[in-house]
This record gives sequence, structure tokens and C-alpha cells, in this order.
Amino acid sequence: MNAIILAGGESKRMGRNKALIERPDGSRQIDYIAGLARECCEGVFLSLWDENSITIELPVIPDLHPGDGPITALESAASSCGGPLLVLGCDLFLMDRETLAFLISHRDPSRKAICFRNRIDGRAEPLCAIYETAGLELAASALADGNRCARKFLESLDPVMLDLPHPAALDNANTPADLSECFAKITEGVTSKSVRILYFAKLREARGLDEETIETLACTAAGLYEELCFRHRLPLGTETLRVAINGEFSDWGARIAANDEVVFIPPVAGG
Amino acid sequence: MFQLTSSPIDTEAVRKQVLDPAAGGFCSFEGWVRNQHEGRPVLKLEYEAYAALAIKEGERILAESIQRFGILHAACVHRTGPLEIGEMAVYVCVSSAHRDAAFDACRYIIDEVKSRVPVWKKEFFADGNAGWVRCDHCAGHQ
Repeated sequence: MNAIILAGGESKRMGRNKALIERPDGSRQIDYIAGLARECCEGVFLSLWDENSITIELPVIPDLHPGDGPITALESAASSCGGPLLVLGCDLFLMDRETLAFLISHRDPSRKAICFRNRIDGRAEPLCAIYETAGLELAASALADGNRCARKFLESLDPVMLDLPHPAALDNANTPADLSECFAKITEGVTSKSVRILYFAKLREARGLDEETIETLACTAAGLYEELCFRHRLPLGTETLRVAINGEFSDWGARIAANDEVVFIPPVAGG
Repeated sequence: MFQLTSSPIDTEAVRKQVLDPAAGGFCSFEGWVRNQHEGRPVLKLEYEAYAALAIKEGERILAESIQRFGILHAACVHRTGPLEIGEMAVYVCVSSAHRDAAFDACRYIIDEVKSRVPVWKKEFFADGNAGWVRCDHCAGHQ
């Protein structure tokens, strides 16, 4: 089997190339993912639209349609290396070898793909999945039909769906706050904790609740809000909110502990 | 003392909190429910507070005003729940040896309360719409 690491994203919200981010142990993220891929695949390729953006000893498969997202990387790979192909996003900061071994060991070559369920919404995760040749070959027609959503494409392949053995293994990072959350999980471990959330004003109406007690894997306040946003599509982003933990203003990087009471504070307007 | 109340504000009781024989000046501010917002007719308001933190932050603002302006006492009460047009939503009062500090401190308190205390205001408009007012000058919300 071959692997392809997708490093062609623009990392706009992160503000820098995610592949080159230094992990807590000082290694580059791209080297970390490439190392994991080399342990379980014969050939490891890199998908890039700008070949000069990353220096690493890996063969590059240039995108046939640069800037069109992950499906175009699959289309390019279909014509160059073929399947089965392990596809990995370069921003999987919590990926580990057990998760990849689990995915590979459950592979069914008679199906078009195999992947994990998202730990929160249960939908297919396209950027840590194995695409068989029959699946890869459909990438070109999906693109021709105007499909740019990798998740919808994967779902159209009716993939084998697995539950993650390590629930946070596919947590990725699109913003500096997400990255802090990922690094906290790497250095402090991933544990489920129960926290009480109070909702006020616009968030209370959007959630339809005054308060709730939830289980979370988040380490930081920002990570907790990200989980809630993903679950409930809350209308406000962290840039417009403040956070309070146990009745006191706190910051987004603050650590969440079991049984904490957390409040996300929409813009206030007294008087 | 900073308080939240769901009943009409008893200004006389709050005023008594700041009485002091050393005071030569008193200044107060009343915030009232207005019948329009940027030209749109408003029927009523509803205030909601995260009480535990609102009281702590309100007390901090009052302590800051005493420290900063050298006044003698400061008090503030904010309403919660539904309010009709013309009702008092917030009352601030301070006492001080001299008037300048009293005016300045009163102004400081109402400005800080509006931008820092976790209280939210929902406006119900005559056209049937309703919405949460966004304070564009909030600390930490810029």
C-alpha cells in the first residue's frame, strides 16, 4: 500500500504552513506524519500545489487542479500511484501508529474505502482513510460533477466505517487555539471529563438550554468551545466571546478540570 | 455595593449606602428604557445576567472607582428580567468630598458596567422582531 500526505491546504486561519509546525518534542509535523506513514506503507508521497513550500525527502504528486481541495489530490494520485492508498491530512497532530494499524487491519479490498467515524457527529473522516483503486477512480467524475467536499465524496463510496480506538486521534487544528488544544492533549494526555456549561443570551437561545452537563475530551476552554460549536453549530466564534471558569473570567488557553462550571460570554450590553 | 434585582430599583435605599458626613458632593446616574433604538420603535426590554460573575465584576468596578477617583462611596443596582419603556434599568450613585471626583467616578462606573458586567439586553421591536443588543465597546470583545 502507498500513502499520500495532503499538505496542499492554505492554512489561512492558522496563519502559517501547518506541515511545518513544530510539535511539542521539537519535530516538524510533516516529519512526524511521514514517519508514521513509512512504518506501514511502501511508498509515501506528498500532495502539494506549491512544490517549494516544504523541504522533505518525499516524492511529490503535484495537484492536477491546484487549489481545488483534497479530492483533486485523490484524482492526481489515482493516475500516478493508484490504490490502495492511505490518505493522511498533514494536520493530524494526534495521529498515532495504533490508529493507523487498526485502520489497515480492518481493510476490505472488496469495498471502495475504509475510514473512521468522527467522534462527535459520527460522519466519515476523509483525511485518514484508505481508498481502494475503485474508489480513487471515482474522484475525477466527482470533481467533474462539481463536488469539492471530501467528506461527501467519501460517503458516496459507502466506506467501511470504524470507531476510533483512540477517540481524539483525528482531532486536527485549523487555528492557533486548536493547535494549543492539540498540544495540550499531546503533553497532558486525553481524558474524558464531565463539565457543566451555563448558557446565556444568544447562546442560550441557540442551544435551547440554560445549562447542561457534558462529557468532553477538551483540555482548554477553546477546545471545549470548539467541541460545543461542532455539536450544536453555535452562532458565535471565540473572537466575539469571553470565557469564565468557575465564576471568574479566564482565558481561552486555560485548562478545564473535571466538574468545572464553564460559561461562554456573548458580547455584554448592560445599562 | 453592586446588586442585581428583578424588582423596581429603590433609589432612596441605594442612596443611603453612600451617605457620609465627610461627603460634600453626590452624583447619580439613572439608565432608563428608551422607546426606540437607532430610530426603530422598541416596545420593551429584557435583561439577563450571569449573576455570580456580574456581582463580582460590578464590585470590582466600584472598588476601582474609589481607588481611582478618591471618592468616599459608590453603589450600583442593575435590573434583570422584563422592563417596560420608561423604567429604570440601572442606577449608579457616588459620594465624594468634592464634586469633580463624584462626576468622574459616576461616569466611569456606568461606562465600565455597560462594557464589562455580564448582563445582556434583548430588545423587542414594534415590528415584531427581537434581538440581543451588541455592545461594540465591550472589554475583550473588540
